[in-house]
This record gives sequence, structure tokens and C-alpha cells, in this order.
Amino acid sequence: MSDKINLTLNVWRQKSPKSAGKFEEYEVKDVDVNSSFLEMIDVLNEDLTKKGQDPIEFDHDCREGICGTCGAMVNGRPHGPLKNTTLCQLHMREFKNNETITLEPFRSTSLPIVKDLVVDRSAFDNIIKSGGFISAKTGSGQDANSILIPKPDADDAFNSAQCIGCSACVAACPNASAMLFVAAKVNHLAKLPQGQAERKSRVKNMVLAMDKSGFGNCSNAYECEAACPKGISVANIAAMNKDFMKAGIFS
Amino acid sequence: MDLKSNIPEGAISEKWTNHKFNMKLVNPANKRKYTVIVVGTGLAGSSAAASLSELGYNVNAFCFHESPRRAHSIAAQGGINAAKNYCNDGDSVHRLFYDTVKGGDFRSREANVHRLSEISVNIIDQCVAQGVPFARDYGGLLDNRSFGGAQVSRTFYAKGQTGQQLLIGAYQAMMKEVNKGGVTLFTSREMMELVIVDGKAKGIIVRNLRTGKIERHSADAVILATGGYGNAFYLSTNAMACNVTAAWRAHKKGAYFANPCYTQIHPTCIPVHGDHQSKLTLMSESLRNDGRVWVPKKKGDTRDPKDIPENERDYYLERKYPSFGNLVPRDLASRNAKYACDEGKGVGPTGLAVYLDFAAAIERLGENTIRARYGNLFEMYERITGSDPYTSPMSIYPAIHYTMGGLWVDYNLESNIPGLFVLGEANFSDHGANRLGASALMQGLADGYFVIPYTIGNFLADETPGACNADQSEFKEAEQEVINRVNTLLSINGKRTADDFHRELGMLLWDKCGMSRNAEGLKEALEKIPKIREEFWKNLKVPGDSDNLNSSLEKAGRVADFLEFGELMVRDALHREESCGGHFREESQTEEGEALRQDDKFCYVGAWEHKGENKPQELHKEKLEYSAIDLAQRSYK
Amino acid sequence: MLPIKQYFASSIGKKQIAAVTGLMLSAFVVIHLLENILLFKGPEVFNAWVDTLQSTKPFLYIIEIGLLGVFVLHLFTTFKIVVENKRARKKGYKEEGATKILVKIMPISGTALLLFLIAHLIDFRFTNHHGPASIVMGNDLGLYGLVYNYFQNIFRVVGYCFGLAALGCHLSHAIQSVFQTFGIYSEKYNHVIKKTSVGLATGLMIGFSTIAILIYLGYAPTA
Ligand SMILES: Cc1cc2nc3c(=O)[nH]c(=O)nc-3n(C[C@H](O)[C@H](O)[C@H](O)COP(=O)(O)OP(=O)(O)OC[C@H]3O[C@@H](n4cnc5c(N)ncnc54)[C@H](O)[C@@H]3O)c2cc1C
Ligand code: HEM
Ligand code: SF4
Ligand code: FES
Repeated sequence: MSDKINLTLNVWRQKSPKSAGKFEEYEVKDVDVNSSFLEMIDVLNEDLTKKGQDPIEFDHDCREGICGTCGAMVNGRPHGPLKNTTLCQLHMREFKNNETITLEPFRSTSLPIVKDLVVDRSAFDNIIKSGGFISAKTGSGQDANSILIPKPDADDAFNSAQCIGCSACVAACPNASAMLFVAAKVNHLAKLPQGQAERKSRVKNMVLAMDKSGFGNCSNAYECEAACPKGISVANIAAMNKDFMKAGIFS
Repeated sequence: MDLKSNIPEGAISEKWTNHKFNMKLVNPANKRKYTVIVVGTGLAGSSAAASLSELGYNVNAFCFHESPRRAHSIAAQGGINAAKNYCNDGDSVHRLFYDTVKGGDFRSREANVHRLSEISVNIIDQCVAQGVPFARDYGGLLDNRSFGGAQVSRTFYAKGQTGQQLLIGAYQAMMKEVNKGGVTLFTSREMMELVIVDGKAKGIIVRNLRTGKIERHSADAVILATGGYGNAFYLSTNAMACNVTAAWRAHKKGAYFANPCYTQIHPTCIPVHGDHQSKLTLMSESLRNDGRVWVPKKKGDTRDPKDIPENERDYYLERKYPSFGNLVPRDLASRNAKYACDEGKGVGPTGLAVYLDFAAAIERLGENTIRARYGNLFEMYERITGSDPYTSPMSIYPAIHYTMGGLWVDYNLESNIPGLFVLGEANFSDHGANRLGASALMQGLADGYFVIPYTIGNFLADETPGACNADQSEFKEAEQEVINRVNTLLSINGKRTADDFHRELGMLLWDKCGMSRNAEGLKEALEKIPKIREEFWKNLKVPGDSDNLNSSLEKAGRVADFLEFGELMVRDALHREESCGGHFREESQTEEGEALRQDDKFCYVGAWEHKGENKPQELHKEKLEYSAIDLAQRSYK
Repeated sequence: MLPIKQYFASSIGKKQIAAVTGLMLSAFVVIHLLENILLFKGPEVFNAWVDTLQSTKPFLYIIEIGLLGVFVLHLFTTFKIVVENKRARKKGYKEEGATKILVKIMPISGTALLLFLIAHLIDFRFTNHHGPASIVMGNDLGLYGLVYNYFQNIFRVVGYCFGLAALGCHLSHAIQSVFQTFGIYSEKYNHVIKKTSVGLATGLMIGFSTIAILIYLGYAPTA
């Protein structure tokens, strides 16, 4: 079962947010095809460390595709070639022997590079902070079953709520727009009865916060949807556009 | 020091109600004068930060993650329990209480568990109000399932992503307070030291992981909600960065560590594939609702599972535990898988796996039903292993998953250091020696939303707000300790990486202090760990510098603490000469090979006190008394 | 409600301006094609239409200025959008993903369109409709003659077609994009919207070009 492959990695190395970076090439030998992409980098990093070189910094934590921490451009695609898959869930059996893989950080002005493949996504927290919540104080909840939510609505809300905040959508967008991320949150809450009271202020505040962070505008290229590891649909963006219009002009 | 559990007087069902009334209150106008530090923004930390800020306290929230939403709580799949009895199947607060105490093998504090069960209902109400998209039925009502061996359907869930949805809910609640200015967020900060002033917890020292800057923060009280220590074993289902550092630093400053040997091993994880495996992936326990566990009857049978006829398969859980079958609690399911593999009946390339077979369920219910129930889990399994569970059985093996042990706390969730509160998986309180499925999420949120907001007031009411500031000598000394430690780690310049040491420690713990333990093995581990630790401080290699992002340095600090903590874990396991819950002591079993608890000798919480570097810790005992339930041997036959 | 200025300064607001103005321009382009078809009815019919238009004069100017305003607004907003987009990612990737080419070249197709339109206006709007350039076989055929003569030159025909190709590219993405911008999205009808968008754009492109080519090939009546 344990097939091995050899690879060449072309990796973006950048020491600090301000320093200029460059690509460096690494040969990785005898990669177990059953290991994950990040385990492959682990092995390379152990090697580099033992040789006295700086290991490649990359973000990761759960390695189960749920925390949204990992992510890098693999041959020009966020999280790599597999659909609906985070980088940590990508396995080496997707690659061919002697392939060259280009690894770059997600690039956008609003998510600046911290080091190597690690970017700073605090802009996302700022957007959520601006309105991505329902103001239900602790203790204020009525009996959970007193709110009836039709199953299709609940499922819709859930689908939007699946976003893991990985920022692959920004990375994939030719304009570095964060519309998919923002729309996913706006819609998660807009689809639920509990979310109605703040629906208008929420969409306004979140869109304005997004703009303020310096993300690009949406050109409806739908690259975000193709890159999103959770399959968040651009229908969310359409719905947010409509909600924003209703909130901004007609109310 | 005496361990005062501070359990309120009265009948079990009235303790919490009475206690809430009897606790001191902080005047609403004064609350904003108090600052509370919350370390950790998982379910426990985020919910605490949000609730305390809503009350008017000033909250400074810290996490080592770049965003609070990344805390490990996000990974919980299965669900969260609550005694709502929406299914009309006989559930009640008392039954949840009973099940949890029994499931914990009578090693948890009865009064805490009862409170947890009472609060469980409020949690669901709160989460729904926040917009957590729980699964619903066609009538628009909340859906429930039976989970982890419970005989009633009391588990609320959101597909296989319950933890994510609950955490996002708590995170959003906290961000709302950040927006209002009540919570100040400090992300990418790792707590490296607890600061004690006049015997009370008054602040922390953190390292900014992005810039390397060491910072001092003072407050009127400190809350730790820093999660579990399962990663001591190297391979576990925990996220890569989960660690014991915060708890361990507090322990070394005087906080007692309770029951460190109680770790939970989850029966349904994807087996190890090779040497470079970095973590193990959990497959939700809900799979056992429809999957049947089996191994071949013949040892070393390498046939394709499909070619093994029914009569040559051993459905060992169904055979041994006819009434619970595949739904026995986690410890039993795990231990029995180990036995099967120890007997040489394990399957797969390593022989360390058993089958979880859906063929019967697919035949009975149809592939579509199975797809609707487990589709995303099956996909995940296939993505990781490359094998399709619809056509051939899954291979599973147990893995470290949760830690019931943690810092000792009293009924108010306050440790023996006044002003230091511990919530969530980081404390020891509610699960005894074994945790039931879907009850960790419940506990984390109970602690954060509904317990700490009351109990912290009781402490703060007697404190002068802002009595300490971060320029005091205690803070500067603690800061210097941290700086020295970081510099030492960087200057050893040996040959082995932190990961390397971690792997060695993990393997040893898994071997000797894992699913089943005996005195001989534990003694061996107790001898070996100090040696690994010694080598660590002589032969560690940490590349890079301390003034920017350096994950190798972070890792090294965490491994250093695991190396000290691991020894305590083994010491605790060695002293507990009984089998209970997740702690199976080979010397203590019945004639049939089942776990044998020794209530006459060990019905207590073992809380360990730090006595100085490289000195054995001292054991303190909090005796456990059961007034509402009779102490009984667990039986799942 | 948001203050109008703030609303239209927002990313979604800007998009909506681009979409509304773009849609108005598209409507004009469609009408313009219908006008052009009149060329095949011969100089008299065509020029009569031109004269009718001219007779509404002050009103015509208002329409023209309005159109110009819409156009400038479209230019201005899309320019702003594009500048902001560039600023949002200063350094690009070494290896580019496969962004749909039509989206990627919106600014290019737009700019090509702009250059084309300037040339187009100089050639037809701001050239004297009666004069040497309008004389066909000895007769001054007014604007009709101007158009007729213009397309006798193969290079001009080719240039014109290029301009329309730019229009085709621009609108293929643009029209479907308008739906999304205003929140009209449905799994069921998306493919219809998409096909309509591409269909309309290609229709316009082919329509205009065919007219030019037919004139070149001598299919337009000369009297
Ligand atoms: C794979 C998996 C599945 C699970 N499924 C279920 C389930 O279905 N049902 C259930 O009830 N339970 C489940 N559990 C258990 C449950 O998820 C956890 O016990 C619970 O979420 C822990 O929450 P917490 O808030 O205590 O800690 P965590 O969520 O782990 O949060 C810890 C926080 O502390 C911070 N932190 C830690 N150390 C430091 C430090 N030194 N300095 C600064 N910050 C620090 C981290 O940044 C993080 O924010 C599961 C666990 C796992 C691993
Ligand atoms: C007859 C002329 C034109 C018509 C009919 C037209 C039409 C449109 C339409 C309908 C849109 C779609 C808006 C949306 O996405 O919702 C659009 C977008 C755009 N137009 Fe035009 N346009 C014309 C001329 C121009 C010119 C001259 C330029 C530039 C110099 C230009 C640049 C753009 C750009 C860059 C976009 C994309 C904006 C984005 O990314 O969202 N257009 N146009
Ligand atoms: S929308 Fe998708 S790609 Fe964007 S942050 Fe969320 S999960 Fe990641
Ligand atoms: S590491 Fe958590 S999603 Fe990849």
C-alpha cells in the first residue's frame, strides 16, 4: 500500500511582513502517498531543521478540515486541486511522481503575509465584530422549541453557516474580494427568524466593514465558489446584494 | 492545604438554586471597574467572556490562535446533550445526572453533575437564540438523536459539525461584546506564566506569537479555559496545537492538578497509516448507531473483508454486551478493540484496526438513508484513506480523544489559588473517570454561560478592583522567567527537534499509560520520562529567533511542559490501583476481565500539588460522596 | 437606510451603478442596432429617420447629454472598481488559477470599447453629414452616404468588427453579472440567464458586424 513519490517544491519564503520574499526550491524524496499534504511539509521541515535551516512556516491546527486555519496556493489553487477539500485534507495520492508543486501564500492586501505561507486574517474578525451576530444576551433565550423553523430554512442557514473562515475565497478571487465569506455569515443569520431584528443593520455594517478593510469588489467571477472547501454557493452573494439594497435604499 | 469543595448544603436538586441566592453580588455600577482575564476562547472561554462582558465586567480575552473561532472546540462532531425530553422518551434532569455520574464511573462530584444537568436545558435555549442552526425535523422543531450509548434521544446536533456551530455562536456572542468595547481581544498570545500577588491570581504573562514580544497583563481575576492535554500522547484526535502549558504553569504556581491519569480513548478513529502521521482523525461515534464492529475469528486473517463469511466473523461487542451491543460506552468499546488486536485478530496493514461495517444497515435502510445520515463522514473517510465505506467496511482504531483530568476546582469552579477559575476541558470537574458522548460541549458552555457569571461575582465582591498593576515586581519577575525560558530553549542548539521528543514521549505514554495500564509498565515510564526530559534540555534544536513567528519555538515550549506533565500523569495512574472509566488497571479486574472499581480505597479525587522542580508531587484527596445515587459497579451486559 | 453618498460609495453600491449604467448603455446599443438595420431600406428611409431624430433637436441633445452622462458614470465607477481591485492584491501569484477569461478582461474589453467608441463618434457623430465623404455615385446621401463610404474600406470594416468583438466580450459577462448584482440568482434559471447573456452579446456583435460586412460586399442599396 505504501507507495512513495518524489517531488520538487517551489515555495514562497518571506521572513517578515515587510521583507521581500522569494521562491526557493526543495527536493522531497520518498513521500508516502497516504500521508497528507501537511505531513509532507512536516517531513521536509524536520529535515530542514536538522540541517540548520529555517523550516517553512505554515498555518494549521485541526488537520480535519474544520478549523479553517490551514491554506496556501498549491499550483495556483487555494487548498490545492481537490474540490471541497482543505489543504490539511489533501493527500499525496493526488500528486504524480516527480511533479513540481508551487506553494504560495494567499495574497491580498487585507490579509498581509506574516511569514512564509502564513497570513494575518484579523480583517475577518473585524468584519464579524461589526455585525456578524445576533444580540441575544446570555439567559435571554426562550424555550428552544418555541421558535419553529421550517426545515428548508434551517438547512439553508446551516449551509451558509458551514463557512470555516479560511479565506480561500479571497485568495481565489481575481479582485481579492471577501464577498463570499461575508455573504455566508449575513445569510446564515438572515435566513433564521432569530436573525430578523438585526437583519438590516447587520448587512449594512458588515458590508461597510468589509469595504473598510480594503478587500476588492466583486466582479461575479465565481472563483470563490470553486475554491471554497465548504462548497459555499455564490447564491449567498446574490442574496446579500439584495439584502444590502433593501437595507440601504428601501428602508 | 485542605481541599474544600464548597458544595452547598441542601438536597441535590436545590443546591444550585440555593447557592445562586446565597452568593454575593457585585453592584451593577461597580462591575465595569473589575477586569477579568479569560485565557482560551473555545466554547468555555468565549461563552464566559461574552457573558461576563454582558454583565458589565471588563474582559480581556486571550488565545494562542490567530482568531478565537479556531479553538479546538470547533472540531466536535457529534452533538450536545440536554435534558429537554423533547422526544418524550423518559429523559429528565435526574436521568441525565444519573447517566453522567454512572458513565463517569462514580468518580465525579455529584453536585457539579447535577448542576450541569439542570443547566443543560438553558444552553440549548441560549444557542438557538443566537442562531445556532441545529438540525430540525419537518415540523420545524429541533431534532434529537441518541448518542454515545445513551438510551434516550437527548443529543442536539448540527450535521457532523455541532462543535463548529456552537463555537461560532459563542464566538459571535463574544465579538458582539468586542464591538461594544466590553471585551478586548488578544489573539496570537500564548499564556506562559500565571502571576500571583499575595496568594491570589492577578495576571498572566503572554508571548505574542507573531512578534515574539513578552507582555504583562494584570486583572482582578483570571479564568483559564485552555482545553485538554490529550496531545501529551503525541498522536490524538486533538488539534496540533492543543497543549497543557497554561494549566501546567498554573500548577507550578500552586494550583492542584486533579486526576491527570483520566484520559478518554475514543473507539472510532481512523487507524495510523505510517511513521509520519501527525494526528488521528475521529469518525463520529454516531457511526456506531448503524455500524457493526467485528474482527475475523481467525488470527492473522488477511482476506478481503467481503470474502470472510458471516460465521467466521466475531461481532465481539454484540457477543459480550448483548443489551448495549455496538453502543457500549467509549472505554469498553476501545478496550475491546485493543484486546481483539492484542489477540492477533486486528486487520489492515498494521494489524491495529477493527472493522466497522455498514453492509447490514445499508441492506436494511438503503444506501440513501445511510448517505443522508453519514454522507459527510463517509466522504471524509474516503478522502483520508482512499477506500469507500459504502462498499467495504471502515477500519477503525481507538485514539486519545479527551482528558477528564485537569486543574482541581471547587463547586464555584475556583481552583485552590483564590481568583483562579478553570472552565471547560481544562478543569476536572464533571466527567469523573470517563466522559459520555456529547457532554463536553455541554459542560464547556454550562461553565461559561451559566456558572462563572454567578460564581466569579462571589469572589470579586470581596476584592478591591484594580488593586494590582502590571508594573509590580511580581509581574516583572514572572516576565523575566519567561524570557529566560525562551532564551534557554533557543540556545541549546542540539540535534533533535521538539517533535522528535514529543513523539518519543507520546509513544511511551500510549504504551504504558494508554488503554490499559499495569504497575510494571507505569514504573518503567516513570523512570524513562525524566531521562527524555534531561535529554530534551541538552539536545534540543530550535531553529530561528524569538522576535517573530516561530512555530518550532512554540512547539518546544509546549513539549517541555508535556515532558513534566507526563510524569505526573503516570504517577497518578500508578497510585490509582483500581480500574475505573478510562483508567483500566490490569491488576484490578473481575474474573471475566471486566474493570473492577475499588470504591473502598479510591473513591476520591486525586489532586496533586507541585513541590518544586524535579520533586515528586504530593497527593491530596477530595473524598467523593454520593447522596442521590447509589454507588454501583457499572454493567453494560 | 444609508446616506445616498455612503451607499453608492460602498462596494455593492458601486457595482449597482456600474450595472444600471451598463444596462442603459446596453439598451441604447440594442436600439442603435435596430436603427442600423434601416440602412438596408435604402438612403431615403434611413435619412428620413435621421431627419426625424434631428427635428426633435433640443430634446435630442438632452438625450445625447444624458447618454454621455450615463457613459461617463459607467466609466468613472468601473474605473474606481478596477483601481480598488488592483489595490486589493498588489502582488499577483506566480501561478495563476483559471479565472474565466471574459471576467478577467472586463477592463480591457471596456477600454477597447472606449477607444472604439471615441473613434466611432469622431467618424460618424462629429463628421459633417453632408460633404465629400457622403457622396455616393455623385449623389450626396447624407449620413447614409457617410456610412456607406466608410465601410468600403476593408481596414475600417475589420477595425469596426474588432470594436464589436470587444463589445461582445464585455457584454457576455456583463449582462449575466447584472442579475447577480441585483440579487437575482436561481439554481433553476442560472443557465438560462447565462445563455441569454452570451446570446444577446454575440447577437449584437454579429448584428453590427454583419451590417458593416454586407455594406462592404455591396448589399446595401445605393439609391
Ligand atoms: C475530534 C473531537 C470531537 C469531539 N466531539 C465532541 C462531541 O461530539 N460532543 C462533545 O460534547 N464533545 C466533543 N469533543 C470534546 C469537546 O470538543 C472539547 O472537550 C471541548 O470543546 C473543549 O472546549 P474548551 O473550551 O474547554 O477548550 P478548547 O476549545 O480546546 O479551547 C482552548 C482555548 O484555549 C486557548 N489556549 C490554550 N492554551 C493557551 C495558552 N497557553 N495561552 C493562550 N491561550 C491558550 C486556545 O487558543 C483555545 O482558544 C470532541 C473533541 C474532539 C477532539
Ligand atoms: C456601450 C458600452 C458599454 C456597455 C453597454 C457596458 C455595459 C456593462 C455592463 C452591463 C456591466 C455589468 C455590471 C455588473 O457587473 O453588474 C459592465 C461592467 C463593466 N464595464 Fe462596461 N459597458 C460599456 C462600456 C464600458 C467601457 C467603455 C468601459 C471601460 C473603459 C467599461 C468597463 C467596465 C468594467 C471594468 C466593468 C466591470 C465592473 C466589475 O468588475 O464589476 N464598460 N459594463
Ligand atoms: S466562504 Fe468558503 S473559502 Fe471563503 S472563508 Fe468561508 S469556507 Fe473559506
Ligand atoms: S488545519 Fe484545520 S482546516 Fe486545515
